Amino acid sequence: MTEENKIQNDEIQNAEGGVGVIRAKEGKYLTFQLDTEVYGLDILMVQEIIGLIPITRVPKMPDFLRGVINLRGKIIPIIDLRVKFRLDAKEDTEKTCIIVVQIEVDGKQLTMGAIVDEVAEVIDIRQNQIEFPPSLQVNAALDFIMGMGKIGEKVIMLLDIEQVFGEEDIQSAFEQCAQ
Amino acid sequence: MKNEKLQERLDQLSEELIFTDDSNLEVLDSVYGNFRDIYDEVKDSLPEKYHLDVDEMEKSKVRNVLIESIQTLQRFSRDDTHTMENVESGKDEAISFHEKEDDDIELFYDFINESKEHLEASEKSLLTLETNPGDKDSINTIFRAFHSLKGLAGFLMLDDVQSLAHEAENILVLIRSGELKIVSELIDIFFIVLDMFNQMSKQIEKSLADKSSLARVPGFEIMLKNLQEIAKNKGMNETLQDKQSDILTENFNDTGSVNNKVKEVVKIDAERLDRLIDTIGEVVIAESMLKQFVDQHENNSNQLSSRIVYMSKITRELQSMATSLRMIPIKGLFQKMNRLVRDLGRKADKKVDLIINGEDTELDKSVIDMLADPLVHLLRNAVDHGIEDDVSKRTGLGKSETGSISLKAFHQGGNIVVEVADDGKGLDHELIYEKALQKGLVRQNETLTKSEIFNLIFSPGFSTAKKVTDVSGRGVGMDVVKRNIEQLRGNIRIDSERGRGTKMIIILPLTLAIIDGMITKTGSEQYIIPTLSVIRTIRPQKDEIKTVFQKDEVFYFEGEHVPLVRMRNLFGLKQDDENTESELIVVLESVGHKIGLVVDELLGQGQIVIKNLSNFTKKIDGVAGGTILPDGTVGLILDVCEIVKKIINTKKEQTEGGE
Repeated sequence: MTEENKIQNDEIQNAEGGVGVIRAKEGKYLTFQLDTEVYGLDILMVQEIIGLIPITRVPKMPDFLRGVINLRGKIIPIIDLRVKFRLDAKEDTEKTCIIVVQIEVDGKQLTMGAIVDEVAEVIDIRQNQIEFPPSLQVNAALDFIMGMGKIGEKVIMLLDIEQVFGEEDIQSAFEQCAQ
Repeated sequence: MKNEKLQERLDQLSEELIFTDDSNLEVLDSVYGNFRDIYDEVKDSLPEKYHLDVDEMEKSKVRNVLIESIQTLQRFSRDDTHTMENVESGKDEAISFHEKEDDDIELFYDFINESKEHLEASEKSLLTLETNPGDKDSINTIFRAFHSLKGLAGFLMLDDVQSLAHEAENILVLIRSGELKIVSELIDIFFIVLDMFNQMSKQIEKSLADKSSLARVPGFEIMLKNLQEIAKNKGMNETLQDKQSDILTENFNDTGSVNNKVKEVVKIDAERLDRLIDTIGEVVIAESMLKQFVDQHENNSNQLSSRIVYMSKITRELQSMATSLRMIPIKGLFQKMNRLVRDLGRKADKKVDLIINGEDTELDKSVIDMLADPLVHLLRNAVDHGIEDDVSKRTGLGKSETGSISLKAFHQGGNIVVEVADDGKGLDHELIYEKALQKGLVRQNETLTKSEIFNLIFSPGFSTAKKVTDVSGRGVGMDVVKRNIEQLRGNIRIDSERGRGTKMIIILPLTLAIIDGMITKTGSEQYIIPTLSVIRTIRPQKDEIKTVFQKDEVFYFEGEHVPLVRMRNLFGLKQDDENTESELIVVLESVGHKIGLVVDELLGQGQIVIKNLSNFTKKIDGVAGGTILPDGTVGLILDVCEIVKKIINTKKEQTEGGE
């Protein structure tokens, strides 16, 4: 498929089902497991991966905000991606870990942590391996997905992590608490 | 005939003078010129033998005109909108910063810093001169300051600064040689000269920041002209040059001894300093984590623990050093207040002395910066409302005619106390109560203690001032003061006796970065309560806690019923592992109210390094911040003020709803 065709294709799909566009760029992705699915995170966003450490709960916060941790003297909020993606709750295991990401929300540099079931590997994804996000009408989480990486048999959902953390419901949750 | 003509012109002038209220400097200039003409006419119309007196008259007349123009200048220069206009008009002599090299820019910043020091020194000396006009040291200090300014400005080609410094210096030469007497008006003029220098350096700073052209400050020409006028009136211009050099040599002779006393100082970028202090905070945390780990694991050898003790010593030292790095004496702030009280006293036409104590007390720089506004407000209130308008009221009570305001800073048990006390009329608690009734801040039959009544003046929109003046009494104020102080994690208290005066007592933490905190535990969670707001912790007997309306709990503490709130309910903690056997009441006080907070147990007390609770999370209800506990986990610090306010408000709503 030529580049031009592809763009046309984009538009057609958009007109049909409001599927969205591929926002994912080719490059290195950190893949991790959440429930049965594999997700990918742009490696440039990832600051580090740490094992699960005690998390301090913050009162009156939404469920998906597990609390805050001490990352070498800096206090950062931790988001439970399982809860955020409305997956079934699961006990933490020794493989559960926190991916620390650096994102930009409203022009501010922020450091946050995301709890995932297991970190897999870093893989290279080329542009021609990225496809459209699934067309699910009622899936609210769709915004978080920039595209689907297809490598052999594996399907990797490429996450727009800024969208996850910058999502309105997170923002409004914080605002609610501020009142 | 002549008299009528004069009368006519004077009338005309006074009309124009009213017009100068619109800060039209050109009009003012011409008015000044006209006054000169009138003066000449008066002089000519009088026989020669009166001429000497007229010279005296001239002095006072010129002085009056000066004061007049200076007042306008003041108004003018403080009005930012006008500044903008004049910025445009002053372009012809502008220096442009956008093509300057970085090194040069640095020089200009140095100039700004240095001139700040000179100006502060001059201001202090001026204040001394005011009470002691013969003080040679002060004149010399000012002279030196202006001379240095002139030199620096000349080097950097800041012509306006240079010429202003030059003209001011000329007058100082006259003062120094005794040809010009120091009168209070002259001191006023010098104060305004200082203001103008400050403005100039602000202008330079602004131009540096946005790389724009340097604009002339408003009123500069008039100021220059006025200064020249003063000097010229003594007709001493031709000998100035010699005298100046005389004084210079003399002055440089005694600078030697002064300089020896000055400590060696290194200026550090504030941001780097903050990073250093942060890192030291990390070391302290790491150390206590290590210590706790070793304590918990019994297999520690003697050697290990002795080394840890050694390390603790060093980290403690580091921490106190880190804290002291940011500490500066409150002197600078207090000195500014000196000037403020002086100006306010003049404006209100009251004689007021400011007595300063403990100006060497050191405080965190950020605390000092944030303390400036509340302090200005309190002093304004003291001068404007505290000190009696009518001197006879003072003498009637056996007080001296001159009002006295004392500004004090001292240490008290790990805190800094700043006191503003006046010997004025004191607060009228009945009037305050009445006013509060009108405003609906208290209910009709509510009985309040005196201190509770005084605390009412911190309520938003509360003002008992009978007249609104230029400086205070607009109904905003004390609530802002209170809020500012609470932002500093401090507290403010009022002590007042009618007829004897009012004392405002501000209690502040030494630093903003570290607080004394009590670590409490409820369920599995730990919360830190700032010790400053804790009155007492009590282990209650079962029957001491009473239930009101079958749901609200209160308990009796020191003669009053204090509402109780359970940490579990407050923060929605898990209810299942409730353990009422060992519960503890922490009595908290803020915004003039007490509440009891029920926690499970008290884990300890200590210095808590405050951390931002992540920049993402906005303010969390009831939580002031976070800290790293000795075990490495994050602990949340309670926002006592907010919690108390919330509890009191819900209580009020409930009772009001019930009526």
